[in-house]
Formats: sequence, C-alpha cells, structure tokens
Amino acid sequence: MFSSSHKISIARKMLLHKKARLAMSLSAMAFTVVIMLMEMGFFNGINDSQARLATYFNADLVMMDIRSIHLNKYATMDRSRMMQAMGFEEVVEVVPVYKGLVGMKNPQTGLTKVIFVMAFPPDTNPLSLPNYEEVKAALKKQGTVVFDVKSRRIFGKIELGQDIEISDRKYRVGGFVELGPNFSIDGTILMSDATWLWGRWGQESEKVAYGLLRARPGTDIPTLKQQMLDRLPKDVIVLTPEEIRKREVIHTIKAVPLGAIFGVGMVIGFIIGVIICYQILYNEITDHMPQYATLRAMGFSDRFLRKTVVQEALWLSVLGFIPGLAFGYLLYGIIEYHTGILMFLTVGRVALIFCFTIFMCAIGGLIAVRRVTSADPASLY
Amino acid sequence: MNIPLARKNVFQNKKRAAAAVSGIAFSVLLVFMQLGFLQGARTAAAALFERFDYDLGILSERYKFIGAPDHFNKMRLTQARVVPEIESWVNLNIASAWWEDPDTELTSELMVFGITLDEAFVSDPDIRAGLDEIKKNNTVLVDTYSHPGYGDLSIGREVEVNEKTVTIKGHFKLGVSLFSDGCIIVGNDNFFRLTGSDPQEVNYGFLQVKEGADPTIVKEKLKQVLPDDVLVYTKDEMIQQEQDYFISVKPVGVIFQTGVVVAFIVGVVILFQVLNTDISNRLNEFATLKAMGFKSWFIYGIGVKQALLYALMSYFPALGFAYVVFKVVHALSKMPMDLTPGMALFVFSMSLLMCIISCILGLQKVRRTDPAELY
Repeated sequence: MFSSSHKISIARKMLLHKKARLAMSLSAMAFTVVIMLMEMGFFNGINDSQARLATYFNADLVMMDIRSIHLNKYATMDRSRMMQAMGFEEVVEVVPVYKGLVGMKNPQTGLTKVIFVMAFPPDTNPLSLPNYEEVKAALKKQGTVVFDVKSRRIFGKIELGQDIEISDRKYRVGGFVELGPNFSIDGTILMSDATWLWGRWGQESEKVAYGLLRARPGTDIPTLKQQMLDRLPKDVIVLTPEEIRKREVIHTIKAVPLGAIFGVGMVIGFIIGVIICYQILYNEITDHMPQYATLRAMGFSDRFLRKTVVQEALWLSVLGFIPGLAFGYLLYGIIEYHTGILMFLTVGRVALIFCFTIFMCAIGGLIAVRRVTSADPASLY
Repeated sequence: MNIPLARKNVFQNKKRAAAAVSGIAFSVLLVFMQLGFLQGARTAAAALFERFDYDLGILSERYKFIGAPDHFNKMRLTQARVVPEIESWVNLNIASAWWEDPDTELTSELMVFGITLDEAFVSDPDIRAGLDEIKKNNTVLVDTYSHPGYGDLSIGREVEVNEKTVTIKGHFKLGVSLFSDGCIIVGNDNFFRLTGSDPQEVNYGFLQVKEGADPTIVKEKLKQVLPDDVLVYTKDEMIQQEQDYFISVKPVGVIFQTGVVVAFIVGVVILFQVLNTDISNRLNEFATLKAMGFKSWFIYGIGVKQALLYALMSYFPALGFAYVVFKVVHALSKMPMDLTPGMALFVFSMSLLMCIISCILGLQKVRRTDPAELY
C-alpha cells in the first residue's frame, strides 16, 4: 500500500520527540557500551601487556631456548647456537640479548625491588624505540643504564644522572625509555652487554636469552625459519616477533583464566543494554500510543510499525554507541596512564563492540515491538 | 486511611516494572561480580600463608611475591634464635618445575612447595594429614585444584616432576592459577633433591614465639639482631603485603574497582530514568494531590518510596543470582569466590545510595508540579 521508498523517518521523529528524555536514555545506553568496552579492554589489555616486549624486537627472527615457552621464562641458550645461525647464508646479523631479574634499591625508601634487565650491544639497535639514538649514546658509557619511566612507582622517582643501586653496585641513569610494566614485570632497565657482564652476572656470558636474527633483504623469512628449525639442534626454537607476540597472548589466556571473568562482565553489560533498550522503546511506544493507533487507522501495516520500532532500536544503538565509545576511549587513556596496562582500541575491537551494541538493541527492540501492534485505533476516542 | 500509593504506582504497569527491576538487578549483580573477583584475587594471592600457623615470617629483602620470592641464607633463621622469645622455626621453599603426566606425556608448569614436616606449623587439615605420607623419598601431596592437564591425581599414582618419578600420596586444595598451572607440596629433603636448589638458601622462614610473647615486640627485636638483607613481618603483615602487591602494584584492584563504579552509575541512570518517566506520566495525578491539599513532602515521599521499592526488589534477586554465579565461577576457575555478609551489606548500602542519588536527580520535577496547570 505505502511503498517503503516513500521515506518518512517516523522512527527518528518518534525518538527525537522528547529530547531531554532521549539524552538520558542514550546516556544509559552509552554506559552499557562503556561496560562492554572496559571488560574487553581489560581482557585484551592484560594479554597485550604480557606480550608487549615482542612488539619491540627489531629483527626478522628471534632464536631462543626451547624451554622459553613464554617471555617471562629465564631459560638461556648457548651462545654457540648464535654462531651456528650465522652459518646460514641468508643471516647477516645475530644480536645477543641478555635478560634477568635484579634487585634495585628504591632511592627514596631504601627498599629493594625486583626489576627486569635487558642487555645488548648498544650499536645493534635490537629494540624499535623512537629515541633509540639517545639510548644508544647513553648505553655506550660503561656503567650507565637506561630506565623505563613507565616502571611502577615502587622503584621511586628516578632522575637523569642519578646513581641507582643494583646488587650493591652503583649505576648511573643516562636516559629514559617508555616500555611499560605487566603482570610479571614491574619495571625495566636497559644496559649494554659490557655493563651487564661487568656486573655480578659475568659468569653467564656464554648464555644468552635471545638471539635476534636479521636476514639479507629479500629473504623469504618462513623458508629460512623452517631451514633453521630443521638444521639447528633441537634445543632452540626460532620464531618471528609476531609469532612470539601471538604465542604470548595465547599462553596468557591459557595460564590465567581471565576470559571467564571478563566474559561474565561483558555478558552482564550486554543484558543490561538489552533491558535499557527495551525500556526506552517501551516508554516511547506507550507515550506515542495515539500516534501509532492513528497510523494503524490510516492503514499502515503491522509490519511497517514493527519496522519503525526496530529502526528506532538501531538508531538508539548508533546514538548510544558514539558517546559510549568516546567515554570509553577516555577511560582507556586514564587507566593506561595510571596502571600501565596497555589499553588500546583497534578497528576490529571497535567493530566487535559495535556489533554487540546493534545486536543488543535489536533484541530489546524485538521484545518491545509486540506492544506497538497492540495499538488500537478504537481506543483513540 | 492509608493508600500505598508508591506500591500502586510501581505495580500499575507490571511489565515496565519488571524491565526496570531486572535492569537495576543486573547492574547490582555486576557490582557483586566485580567485588567478588576483587575479593577472590585478594584471597588467592595470600592463600598459601593461610595454610600455615606461625607468628612471624622472614623473607629476603628482594622479596616480590610468591611467584618471585628470592632467597636468603638459612643462617639467618639460626641467628633469629638469639632472641629468647622465639620458640621454633621452619622454612618453606618455592621453585618452579615441570609436571609430566606419563599417560599423555603432557608437560605443564608446576610450583613445588617444600616444607619442614612439622605439624605444629600446618593449620590446613588436609596438608597436616598428609605430612606423615611424604616423609619418604619422592612422595608428594598434590593440589586437586591444579590444571586438568595434570591428568589423573589418584593416590598411589606415579608421575614425573622434573623428569624424576614421584608418587602421589595425598591431596590438598589451594589453587595457584595466578602463578602457575598447579602445585605440589613435598618435604624439604625432597624439595632440594627435586629442584636442585641450594639447601642453604631458603625462601620463607616461619617462626613461632613462646607462649605469651607479643609477636610485634619480638619482630622489633629480630630486626635489631638480623642483618638488613632480610625482612621480618608478622603473619598479618605478610598476608597484607602479599595482597597489596597484587591489588595495588599489579594492579588488579583498579580493574575491578572501575567495574564497580561503572556498574553503579548504570544502576543510578536506570533508576533515575524509571522514576523520571513515572513522574512525568503522573504529573497530573501529583498536581491533583497537591490541589487536594497534600504537602510537597508527601509527594516527595511517594517518589522516595517508589525508588526504595525498586532498589529493594532489585537487590534481593541480584543477591541470590550472585550467590549462584559465584558458585559457578568457582567451579569453573577454582578462584576463591565468597559472598561474605560484609560484601552483601556493602552492596546493599550501594543500592540505597543508588536510590538516594536517583531521587535527588529525579524528584526535581515534583517540585514544579502546579495544580493550576491541570486545566
């Protein structure tokens, strides 16, 4: 009877009729979006933070001991494996990276706290850091270290040029980087391999944590990786930095049952959203009962009325999602700043929450829709 | 004459009331969940210490948490005996190791706890009962909350720990999923043999003071006697600092606190919205009441009672539901999830606060109701 191309945006008009109430309703919708964003954010944040180190590796392939099943394992590899890796024609450089946990004294409180150390030859550029040139210059001075300013506050306030005490030896802070802590690491110090070996760890010079491999440009990395795995002794594993990152995320998900915790939170957020959406639409329909009854009297089909309500639901999801996303984004920033948990959104993550929001409103709309078809023209008068 | 206006208003439209109540109930449930997880993490963080009976603990100055305790020379415990109030001491040691289920050849990470086999220091009945069983070489007690990959944990079964064959002699319940896949308890002799650690270097010293001695005073004396490469804590302080490390440093706390705040705000917004809609729809009725001579406070009272009704009707189902969800989460994740009376009371006061805030925001309209507008 009335073609659907004949556009009267009844849905939008009905919704916008009472603006103050709509604003309120939308804020409730927005908060449910925030709940879902936060729960997802914490889940991803913890996993991403655990895997953060892998994203800094400036290498084509990373070699490590087979027992290093995750980044917080301190299993070391024999240095000779690096020499063997150099035997591959495509490998142009192998960078040794040492790592360990040491006790650093908080200069303010005098309490010793365990901090993560990474050491490497400064010229080799093993980490992609925006200020690597500065870091390199600082590390070249023997006994000088670079401190991660995002380390947790338990290490105290560290100034440039200050001496810090690690295992009864003094080291000078020659620069800063921004790496960030996670559930296993509270803070990080970088130093040169020479400074590392000069410390009490000297006897371990033949043992390295990672060998960062750089291949000749144009090398097919997966093929090289396979060749290395086939020909090197079975006590080492070779992975790309991206594979390490993924492996770490999977390990974290398996090791700590966070999925259930945040999943439950997300489901509850979703249910609240459905209820709010239902409630908004229900109220809207109740308020506009005479209008809907008039529409029916005019001969509009029930299908049309249902479509109107579902459209309203979709409008709600879009209008609730935008402020929710904005507020969530703000909260992500605040939480990352205060906690060091890596909180970021990707297109995929935003899309996921958006889908949830639409789905949530669609359900709410479908529950509310039954009411609109009960609008009775006869009751108008 | 007393007409329960608030109740009649709430129940006039049952469907809408149900939607409102379920919305608020779910946000209250979310508050419960977040608090439950927070409480669970707090309990899990220091659960090990709760299994033992001691007054004072000695730790390395480089102590971080159970997962990275560092070690100190056992000599420090001998030195501690210089303080006459010290009755006795034991030491507890922790190392990570590998567990292998011989049937599936699946290896998992494992935490090995080595203890002095002295039942005076063990408060957990399961562990205490098992102490006699693990005196022999290569005998262990296993945590039944360990990861399913550990395989069959029946008593008498032989499994591999660090490639050495050990026999399961008993069970206990701890849950170390924050740190590892699972754990076993062995006697210290077995501990040093299985892990290859240096027996002179220990992770924890647990001390008991003589009858009548005050642990806090003994602690100060110990601090004076011992070099500063070790820390001395009372049992409560030890538990406190272990929990603080997880809740504040890590920081698990902020994750769940944010959840609580957001859920609370959602509850306020829903309740406000419900009140607001209801009041707008009934402005005429309220104006009539005013015209009839009822005072404003009477009308406010109706609004407040309505809010209170919604809050109460949402709180109790949420409480019941939370109880069930806690049980389910505990069954799934082995995380200690306890719905304590304190928590129930705290959430109840949060519900009341929700009610108060939404009343303050939502009842502004009532003030403006004007009988003259009726016509």
